[in-house]
Amino acid sequence: MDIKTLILFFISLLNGGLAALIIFRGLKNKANVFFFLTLVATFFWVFGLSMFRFGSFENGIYWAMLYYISASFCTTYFLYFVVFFVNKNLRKISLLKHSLIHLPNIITIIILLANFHFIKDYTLEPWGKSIKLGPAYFFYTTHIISYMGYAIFALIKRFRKASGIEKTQLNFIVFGTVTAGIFAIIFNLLLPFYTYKFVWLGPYSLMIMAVAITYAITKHHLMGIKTITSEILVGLLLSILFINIFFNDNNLWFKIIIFLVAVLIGYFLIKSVFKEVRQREHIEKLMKMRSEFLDIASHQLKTPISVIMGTASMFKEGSIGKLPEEQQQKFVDNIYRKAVKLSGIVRDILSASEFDTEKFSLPEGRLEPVDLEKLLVKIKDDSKKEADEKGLELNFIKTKAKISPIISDEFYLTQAIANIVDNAIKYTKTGKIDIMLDEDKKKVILKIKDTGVGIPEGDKNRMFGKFERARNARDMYTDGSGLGLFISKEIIDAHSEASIKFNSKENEGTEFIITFQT
Amino acid sequence: MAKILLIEDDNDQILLYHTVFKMNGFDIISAIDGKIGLNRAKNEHPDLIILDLNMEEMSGEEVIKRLKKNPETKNIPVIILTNMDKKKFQSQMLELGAEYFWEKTVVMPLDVVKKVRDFLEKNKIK
Repeated sequence: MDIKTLILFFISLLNGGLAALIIFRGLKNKANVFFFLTLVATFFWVFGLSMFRFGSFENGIYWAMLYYISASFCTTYFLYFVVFFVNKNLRKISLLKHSLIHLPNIITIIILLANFHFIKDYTLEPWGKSIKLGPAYFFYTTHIISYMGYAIFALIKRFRKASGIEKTQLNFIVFGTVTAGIFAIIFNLLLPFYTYKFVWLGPYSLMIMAVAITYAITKHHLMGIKTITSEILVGLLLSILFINIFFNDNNLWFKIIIFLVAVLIGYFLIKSVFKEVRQREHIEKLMKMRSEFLDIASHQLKTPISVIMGTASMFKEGSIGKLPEEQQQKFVDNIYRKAVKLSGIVRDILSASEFDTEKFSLPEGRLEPVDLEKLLVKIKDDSKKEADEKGLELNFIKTKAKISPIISDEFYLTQAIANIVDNAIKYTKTGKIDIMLDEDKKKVILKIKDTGVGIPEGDKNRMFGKFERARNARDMYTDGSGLGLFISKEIIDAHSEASIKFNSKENEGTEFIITFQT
Repeated sequence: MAKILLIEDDNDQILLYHTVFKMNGFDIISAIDGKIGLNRAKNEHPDLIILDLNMEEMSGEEVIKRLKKNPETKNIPVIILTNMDKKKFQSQMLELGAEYFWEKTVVMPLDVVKKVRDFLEKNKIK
């Protein structure tokens, strides 16, 4: 085997390896699926070309057919990939359109198999096997150039609109595919009209594409260098074993078995490395969350402590003692209120770490019928001062005279609901907060509705997560720990058949709906 | 009588510092957020500003930047009094032109008054 063919084999395996990599990453969306199919088709294309050069003269023509058909599919799938990559919202393409897009492939297969003026002559030249192409090849060329041209045009259009990391990544992807596309069109499509001598050169540009795409991915830490290294090593080993199969036919089956075993081992090796990298990423995320939390928590704890300490220090050195009793009382009230707030924060932090270890459940022995109305009135009274300070209206509205009690634990239930009321006050600048209680059949429904900043669409999914805060809430001044909703949900979920959900519109307000079984 | 402007968003803190400064012979005015604070600094010409960092409407950082940019207010000394982390914010605030960075849980109200008095005397302000 000559070195050119060896490199071709290697490139085909590289494409196969990249396809496997996409499978590892998971076929999350249609763009991924079609990129995978593009790589598979590319694998067959380059493999066909390798075998065309490597195999016997008689078989060469069939390998040539394989790579012409594969290249046709490769272009088609690349077009699909770009269409789905560029239009992220595109869900489905109609069957008719699918058939139309695939039509050139089917025609290519038919004219190749029927030998309809596609391959005019097949000869052995001094430099190797050669094919002379007939008029039907014009159709093939038009198909490939128009599909590739459209795809590249769409990619570049998208590239000009992109920004940030996406732009840098697209930069490499566009550069890689455009180079490979142009190379392939020149050496595999146009030049063969005149001579078949350089047909091996086209696929070499795929190396540039593979390197560019890999660089784009690794540069932005989308996967660890460790995974890449192990993949390259496994890929290299498999390539050597695979090529070895074709060198001479001694022990052919033995070599095939060795190769298959290596594939299996390689698969598990890469899988375990992937797992490790994912775990590390997870730990890094937790560490980052922890330090953010400590920053927030320490500031939040210091705010009430500084008032308590400052006021107490003035009592201690006697200045407050000189004031009229009425004013002294005010300072005592302040200390008390801040201490209550402080204990609430400490309780939140402790609860959050308690929920951390296991799924939270309500304390069995302490469960008793709880009068929600009484509990809500208390929460409202406790929050009144804060609402008044911000000029917000805080209402308690009951639509039924008698509300059935629910089985719960008063301490935890208060915490769950108070967190939501606190949030409503915190994230509302003007307007009002309504706490509404209603009963319907066997359900008690509690609604807490505000006219606040609302939750942006993109943040809705993670609002109940730990330390999470919506984007617009983070920009806003707040002393929230980001634990409130997480704790509320854990507690509500611990009730049998209870649920908590919310409706929200940015800049209009949020409504939390909690439902309990009576 | 030296005039102090306190820019601070916690009502309890405001009450505390108003009381202690007044008892010690200072004239003190306050602002509940950064925006109001900036206006009062321009209109009332205080001798010294005590500024919190974490505030709604306009952060302390933005306030000091604007104070130091405006020729009318750039010579008023600013002292940062906050619960924000000293290690993280002190050097940045001093660079922006603050005189001191005091933590509320470390420097007690009466010490704040004493230190302010020393500072004003040393710099011969009133």
